[in-house]
Amino acid sequence: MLPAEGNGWFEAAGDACVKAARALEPANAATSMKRARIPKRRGIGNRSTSGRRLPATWLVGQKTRLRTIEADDVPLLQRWLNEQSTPEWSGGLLPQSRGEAQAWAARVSTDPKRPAFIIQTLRGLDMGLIMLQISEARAELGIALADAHYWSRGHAQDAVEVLIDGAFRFLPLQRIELLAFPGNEPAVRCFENAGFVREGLIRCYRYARGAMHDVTVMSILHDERPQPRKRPVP
Amino acid sequence: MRKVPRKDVRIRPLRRADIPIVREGFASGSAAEMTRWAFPRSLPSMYGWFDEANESKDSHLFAIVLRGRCVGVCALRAPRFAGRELTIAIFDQRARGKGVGTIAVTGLCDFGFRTLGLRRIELGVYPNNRRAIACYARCGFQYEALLRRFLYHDGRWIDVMWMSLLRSEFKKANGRLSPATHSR
Repeated sequence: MLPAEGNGWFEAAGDACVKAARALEPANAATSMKRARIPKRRGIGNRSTSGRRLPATWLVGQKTRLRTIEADDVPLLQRWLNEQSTPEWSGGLLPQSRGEAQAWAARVSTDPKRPAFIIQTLRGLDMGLIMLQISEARAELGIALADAHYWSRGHAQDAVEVLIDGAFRFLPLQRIELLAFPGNEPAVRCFENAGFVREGLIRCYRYARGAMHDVTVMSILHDERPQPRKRPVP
Repeated sequence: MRKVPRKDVRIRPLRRADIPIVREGFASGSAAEMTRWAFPRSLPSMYGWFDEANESKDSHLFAIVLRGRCVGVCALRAPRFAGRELTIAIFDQRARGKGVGTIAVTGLCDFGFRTLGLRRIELGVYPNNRRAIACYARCGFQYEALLRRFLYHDGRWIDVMWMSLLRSEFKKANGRLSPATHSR
């Protein structure tokens, strides 16, 4: 996979260049990497119908791997944003145009304060999005598992664990925090299993469905970070 | 200690002419332990802060005036979570422990809920600042969360107590608050 360099890569012309450059990559690079076996199309988010090399990443867990967001992911991101079944849990966004989705993707894929990744299975099926928003020594975590097929199966927890493990190893963070809606009990349980602690309830946080809703604040401290996994250092 | 009568304290919008007094007050270090204003700042930088806050839609700066003397500042600004965030500092040591802060916070909440039409005012306070916590509790603020290791302050990462006041609670407590507390 080509790295995202500069800002021009995101433009339409750049997009074509990336595709052309990919076609020119040496053939022996493919032999050194495991070729993904892509099963039949299942759920949303599966872009690959042919055997495609997996994008390189070292953020790999037991069930998921976190890959970077690239220019050709914009239609996928837009579909996820506009098809979500529970918009009140992720900010209650109105449907976004292609341009808005593109601007958002360009922002998160170039801003070092907002590392964002697409969660995939180990076989390379895209299932959702995970991101951090860093301010000073704090980071706020956000996760959206767009593909309902993977809910309640431990994929979200695995992705959260992979990301906080990597973040505490290489970013100067004291705490990682997040906000969870009380109606979203599975998410709260998932974060608790991943090591987060409930800190309190912020009252009247957001307006949704005709009423103000409270949110739970949760956090994990640098001292509480999970033991580093046995994974090769990048 | 004797509490000051309510009529002796009022809050009014901070003026450019107040900035030298505010600078002296913060630079003396009397509020450094309880606020984020640790380092003394120059006058031009204070004017820059004042202009920036005045241009911002979310910020409202007020001077706390005790018998005609500016003893501190308080403000509403963009929130960490929702509503507006309240901040207050009384840098004049002689004005502390007399209930000045309680009157100012109540007046500022009155401004926020009635004039701005807010639903929620929130604030963060260091857990060791007992006088401030008592003051906020007296004004009706409720403890919401303890944000652990939230800020670097005084040589270590410290926890911050988060409190909030909703409009419904404020109305219940101050149904007929005197509108004289703040005046433009």
